[in-house]
Amino acid sequence: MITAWAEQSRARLLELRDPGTGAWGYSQHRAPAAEPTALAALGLWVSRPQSRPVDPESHAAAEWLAKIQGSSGSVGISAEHPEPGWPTPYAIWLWKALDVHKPGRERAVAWLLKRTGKPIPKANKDVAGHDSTIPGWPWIDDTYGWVEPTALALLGLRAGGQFGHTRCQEGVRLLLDRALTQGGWNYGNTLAYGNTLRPQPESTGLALTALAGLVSENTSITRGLDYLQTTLPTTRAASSLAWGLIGLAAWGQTPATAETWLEEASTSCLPKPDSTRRLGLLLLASNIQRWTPLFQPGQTEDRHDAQD
Amino acid sequence: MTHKIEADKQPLRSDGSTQTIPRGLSRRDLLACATGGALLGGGVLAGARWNEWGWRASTFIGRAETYTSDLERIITDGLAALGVDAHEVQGKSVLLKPNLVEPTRLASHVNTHPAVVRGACMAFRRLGAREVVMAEGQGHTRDSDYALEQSGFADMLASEGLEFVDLNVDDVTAVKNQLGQTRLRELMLPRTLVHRADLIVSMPKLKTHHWAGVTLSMKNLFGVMPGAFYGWPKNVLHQMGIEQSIVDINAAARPHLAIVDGVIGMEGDGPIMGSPRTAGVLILGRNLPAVDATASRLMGIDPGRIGYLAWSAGRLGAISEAHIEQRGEPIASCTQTFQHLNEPTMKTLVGSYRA
Repeated sequence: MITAWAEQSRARLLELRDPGTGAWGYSQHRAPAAEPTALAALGLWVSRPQSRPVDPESHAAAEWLAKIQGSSGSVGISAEHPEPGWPTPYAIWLWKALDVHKPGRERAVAWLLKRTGKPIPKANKDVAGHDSTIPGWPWIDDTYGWVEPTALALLGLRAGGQFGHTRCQEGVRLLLDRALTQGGWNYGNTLAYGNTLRPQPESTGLALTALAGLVSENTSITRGLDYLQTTLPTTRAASSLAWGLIGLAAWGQTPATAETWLEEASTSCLPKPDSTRRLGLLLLASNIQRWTPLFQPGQTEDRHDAQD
Repeated sequence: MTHKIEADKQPLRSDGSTQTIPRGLSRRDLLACATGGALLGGGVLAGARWNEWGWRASTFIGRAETYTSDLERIITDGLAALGVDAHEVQGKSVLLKPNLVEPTRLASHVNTHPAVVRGACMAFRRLGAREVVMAEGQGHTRDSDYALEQSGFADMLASEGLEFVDLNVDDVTAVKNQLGQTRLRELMLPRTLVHRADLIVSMPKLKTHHWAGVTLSMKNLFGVMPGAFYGWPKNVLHQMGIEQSIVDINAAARPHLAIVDGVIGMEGDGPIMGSPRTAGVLILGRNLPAVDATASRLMGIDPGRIGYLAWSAGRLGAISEAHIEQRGEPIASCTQTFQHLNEPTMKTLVGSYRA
């Protein structure tokens, strides 16, 4: 059964959609972009009523993403800006969820496998606090690897069935190496000249989601989960709350009040013209069981929506 | 040849014309200077240019003991002292760009304080601004809601009815990199900055920085560069050279004013992990190199030792004390010695300026 806030969020997403392309911009009346389009479409897909086995808006969005996919396999920020390609994993998730665009999906996965961060061979670990030689994935070509693009890429590769690939192992190594000693993750630096940096819930949720199923629970995981359990009650910022809850759920720790928090976050988002990405993520966090099987081993190409 | 330049008298941009290029010095001259600098320095920003090409500027220092002080009045007084009046502001779209480097409830010395932005918002509204918006493209978190919530801005934005624009995911306009101190041929600037704002106000925190020496109004403009194109953090700019990026961005973004939150600043391992240092001042000015030079002096740092400021002298503005008319409080009455990291390159900065 769909909740009232989810119904309102779905309706609002449809209002925010660009009628010409069927895609979404970061804000209403702005250029359609890959990330909000994929997240809005996934949010609609996972929250659709049981009576609606096909979600035409999600399929239209998937089609738009296929149109802007570059010859390299990457999906850029928008039709106008084919580079950088950091939104590519989002497109893979949507295509996989809908079981569409299989050749394009494979090209996107191949592109992700080739893409690497730019390691720094001789960085002073006392200054940076982490192993700078692990390439991981960058936001922008020819730059350093960071936590969030690495986690997104890992989830893209998992959706592409590449669980055992050495790049996945490399991504896991980077994420574990960047875990903060006091618990959680941030964008990807652990120390600055000996000072331990602060964790953030969005980065932590993404890292925990990407690592779930690839590693056993260890100190970094436990401390990250503890950080989220402590921090999420203090925030109603949609993206941080949503990724935090997704990360907790990936390790079987959904708080009892999660749905109330999501509803509160959606209430503040709904009036905003730039709520597309936020609402998509909130719907994803509220329907975790309907889409996270995308990242599990054993998901074949024809079993894309395990809970239906 | 000496050019007489009246940086303080330049009109605020209303037609897209340049503000940072001084009168009497053509854009071509400026680019020639920039090229010369690049050749001399081999792409490294170094060496003061004490011939400041006749650049003259004014800065204003106002005492603000706490964040409950009447900050609107202090900012209004500062604007008046700089000659910014209703004639210049009326009907304009004003963009306030604070420094929201990292979301944290626990460290009020990390980000520009919401009370300072509120004071500026009210001051510009009283001067007749058509609209005032706050905009930021923070570098350490993608979630602007979280940054606003945790830093106390969300409540202020709601109470003042102040719009926030997330510059990280704004639509962009490609602008030619005219200075070319980095290898970036063009800079992707947010459309809000280029096509909506008539008056861009950089509102940094008074802080030391573990790489650049200081982070003030010019470095604060890293935050206008969209993360979608430069990353979170803005690694592209770091790799291109922080100092080179600072001057390229400032030349392209063309800010009009700076208001530095020096009520509580940061010393040591800035811009994030340093310690709070109460300075009790707001610093205002139209010429950002001059503002940053004055702010550096207030921290006991010789601005000529800060690479991007030394390079900016005579190219983007004045940093020499002799060329900056001081209004409001005198520098000598407010100067403190901010500590830096105990690193060899930083040690030379501590106490390098004495009023």
